[in-house]
Amino acid sequence: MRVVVADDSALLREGVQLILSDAGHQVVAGVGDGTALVEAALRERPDLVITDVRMPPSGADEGLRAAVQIREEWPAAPILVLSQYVVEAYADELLAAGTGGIGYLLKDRVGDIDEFLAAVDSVAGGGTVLDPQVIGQLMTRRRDPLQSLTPREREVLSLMAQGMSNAAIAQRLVVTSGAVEKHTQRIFAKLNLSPDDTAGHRRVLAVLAFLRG
Amino acid sequence: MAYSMVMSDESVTTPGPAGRSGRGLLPGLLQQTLNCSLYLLIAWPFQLAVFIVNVTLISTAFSILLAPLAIPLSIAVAAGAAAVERRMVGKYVGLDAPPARRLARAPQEPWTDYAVRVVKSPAVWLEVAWSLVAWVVSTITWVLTITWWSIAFAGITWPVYGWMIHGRNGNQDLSDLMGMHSFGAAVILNVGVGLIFLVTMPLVIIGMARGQGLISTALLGRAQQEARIAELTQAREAARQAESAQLSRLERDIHDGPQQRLVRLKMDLARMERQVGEDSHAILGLRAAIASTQETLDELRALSKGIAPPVLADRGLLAAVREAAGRATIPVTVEADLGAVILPPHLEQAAYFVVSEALTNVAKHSGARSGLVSLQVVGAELSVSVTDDGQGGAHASKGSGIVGLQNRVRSVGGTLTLESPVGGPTTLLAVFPLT
Repeated sequence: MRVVVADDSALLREGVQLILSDAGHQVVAGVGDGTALVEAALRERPDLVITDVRMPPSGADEGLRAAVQIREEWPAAPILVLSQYVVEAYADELLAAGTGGIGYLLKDRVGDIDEFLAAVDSVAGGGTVLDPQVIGQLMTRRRDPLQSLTPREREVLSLMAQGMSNAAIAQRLVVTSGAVEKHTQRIFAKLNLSPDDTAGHRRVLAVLAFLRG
Repeated sequence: MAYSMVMSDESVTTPGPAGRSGRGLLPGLLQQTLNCSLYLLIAWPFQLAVFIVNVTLISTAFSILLAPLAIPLSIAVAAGAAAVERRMVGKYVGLDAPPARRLARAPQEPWTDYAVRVVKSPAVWLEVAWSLVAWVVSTITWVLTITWWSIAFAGITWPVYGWMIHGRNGNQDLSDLMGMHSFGAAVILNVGVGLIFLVTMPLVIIGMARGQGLISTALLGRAQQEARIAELTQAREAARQAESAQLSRLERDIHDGPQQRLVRLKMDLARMERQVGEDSHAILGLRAAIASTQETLDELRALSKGIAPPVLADRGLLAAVREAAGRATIPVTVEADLGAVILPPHLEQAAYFVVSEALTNVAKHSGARSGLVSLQVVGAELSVSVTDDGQGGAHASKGSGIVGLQNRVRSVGGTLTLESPVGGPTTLLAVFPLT
């Protein structure tokens, strides 16, 4: 797929680019600040935009602002935000902007290459991928309604919120897809989530909406 | 520091009070009397002149057009006169009156800011007040000084000139009025009165000079203290700003430097791991290297969160506190009522530090099941409290980091109280002044 990568550190831009090209993806533009990112994303209309948060010119949450700005012009833009730190508030802002695939991961996760590439595919396909740290924070906050879940169900819920399919969850937990399916049904029942929301991206959004309260 | 150096230099070079140099009691007393007389005699014309100049300037200032010229001039005259008065009081009367430190303009400070700072300084107006009222006291002391010297001098020297006026042309002097008409009696009476004035002179003159000097130093010394307080306040403010800027820079340097390099290192190691394949003997070493890189990254991240988390700079205190609450292992509710107040960065950092340390303590020691963080601006104060429903019994001396927290809070002018009865609940409350 065609990817635009934004990071003010050439070192990291190059690192991400190498991993993507190893996997057969093509980086069509590499930029170092927010303004250039908005311009490149709207010009190239790539299959995925990968951006850092902290970039010039403001040196603050430049990547986030650029993401929101891109989405104003192109609401379905698939954007994967990579950052040195994950902030729950930023996840909320990203999820609130636009309709396309969205991802928000710690930069370290790029080093878990298989998971990173799965996230790349998922976001480019319109899915939602949130860092386990963000999910952990959300689950701490919504602890009371989650008390009724068994530890295994909580684990499944956490992976679901990160954007994983039942098959991926089954692989991760080394169980059958059928077992995961049973867990998810029980989770939806216990948390009063609509069983209609059991497919793909909508399922993730429903879980996230629940966690964010 | 620089200020106290200047002060101590000053006290070394200021000549000691005249007449205390151990030349015997009488010459010492004489010297002191002469010095004080000199002071009292100069003080009145001097202070009157200052009064006349300054009262004129201040009247002029009521005209809006002339005020920009008259007020600074008036302040300058008062400051100059006060400096002279301090020197005189120190030199002639022997009172401790070190020179005041002027409000200096900072290198890049705009003139308007400097003017506001000068006009707002109580020290400046105390000097102006002194320049307007000092002459009242010195008028009285000046008259008494002249009187004492005149009577003492005229009385003692009466035998030298008294014969020329005694009993002539119906001249009546003091002895005549008392019914003593002989020349001898007049000599005794006049010289006697002169001696009384001469003997009481040191007491009266030195007393008056000291009294008047004390009034001046009370007003001007106060001015000096105010100036020093203003300066220290400003220095502390500058230090706080420098510290908070330095913390942010440190965090940024960690972010831009080692953190980036470690992330890249992990990426490169991960690519290598894929390239060498499962059956290579290097794979275990590579995996260990990746794990250790990740641990270093985690440690570094925890470190920079404790310094100045970026979300604090990007989204403010409330967002950063919510984030810290979200990271806690137990559910923590955040309540906030900050109004429209914009908090200065050093306060945000200190308040955030209190919350994040308190939540760490809650997780480590309290055994609590839930927590509550409250941020409130009431009047000119920011209060930050962290409450948990744990077992209580927390104490500042139990190595819970409360002492370090207390110092941090105190460094920005705040207070920290810990309430933790055995059985709970525990409340840590920090109150920061907003100004």
